[in-house]
Amino acid sequence: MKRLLLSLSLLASPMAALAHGGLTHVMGTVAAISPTEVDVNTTDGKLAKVVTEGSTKWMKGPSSITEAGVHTGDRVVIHAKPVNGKLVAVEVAVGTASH
Amino acid sequence: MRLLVGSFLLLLVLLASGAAAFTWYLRHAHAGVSARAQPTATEAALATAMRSAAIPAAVRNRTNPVPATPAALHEGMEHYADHCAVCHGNNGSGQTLLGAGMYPKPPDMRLQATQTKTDGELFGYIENGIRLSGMPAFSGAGGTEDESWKLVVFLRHLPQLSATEEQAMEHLNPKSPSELGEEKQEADFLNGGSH
Repeated sequence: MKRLLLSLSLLASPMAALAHGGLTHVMGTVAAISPTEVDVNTTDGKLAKVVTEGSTKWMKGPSSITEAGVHTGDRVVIHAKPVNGKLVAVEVAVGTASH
Repeated sequence: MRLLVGSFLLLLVLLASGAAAFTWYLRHAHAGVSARAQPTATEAALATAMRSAAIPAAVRNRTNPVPATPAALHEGMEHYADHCAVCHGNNGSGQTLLGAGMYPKPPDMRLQATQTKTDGELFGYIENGIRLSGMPAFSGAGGTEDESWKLVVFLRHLPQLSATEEQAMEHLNPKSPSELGEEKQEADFLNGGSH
């Protein structure tokens, strides 16, 4: 029985990682933004620092934008990959609602 | 008689030595039997040659009966994003969570090694799979040959795949109920809903 459970857990583990496509999701409002970092007050009350780079995609609804289109207080959902203990943004989606 | 027995014993010793050496190789020089390892150049060359030789000429020489129209390309892209991208990646690079853990790894299908194969070879791999690899056979799985040929149309397009097309494919990739729920939650949040 233990072997069966172990086998099932080993089979399930890659799917758990796949659930996010290997990316961490950060959801909240922008606390601060610089050319290399976005600080986010997350919906669970924490402060998350996410590094941005040239390859980071910036989106507002279906449209591509630039980093200049993101401001303090904006709602964002960031999909980021963990690299050397830091979160590096793959995509930053900005809220379409006015604030 | 003595010579025969001696030869038999020598053969047994040689076989036992060979098995022991092979076991040692697997355990120490090849990271056990981990699928994370890369096949050696010799193994890859032999396997590729055998795989190529195993395809009947009648299949190899087939040309794609489906014209590379925008509609066929789009259908192939949709099918690929749904069935193939989990291992091969939307861009065909093979750089995926599952692909990285396979032995052998999925190839970068944008490169010449794949693109120089005939339409029939690519079609044959899709329909019949590739033994001793992670590539399953899709014939008999409810699809049609027409769908496989449209996949070949899309495979030929991989080297020219644009960033916009790749992004569009992300919406075609299969998602679990929890991922769909999470997407909805994120979309609601971005549209000003409560969280």
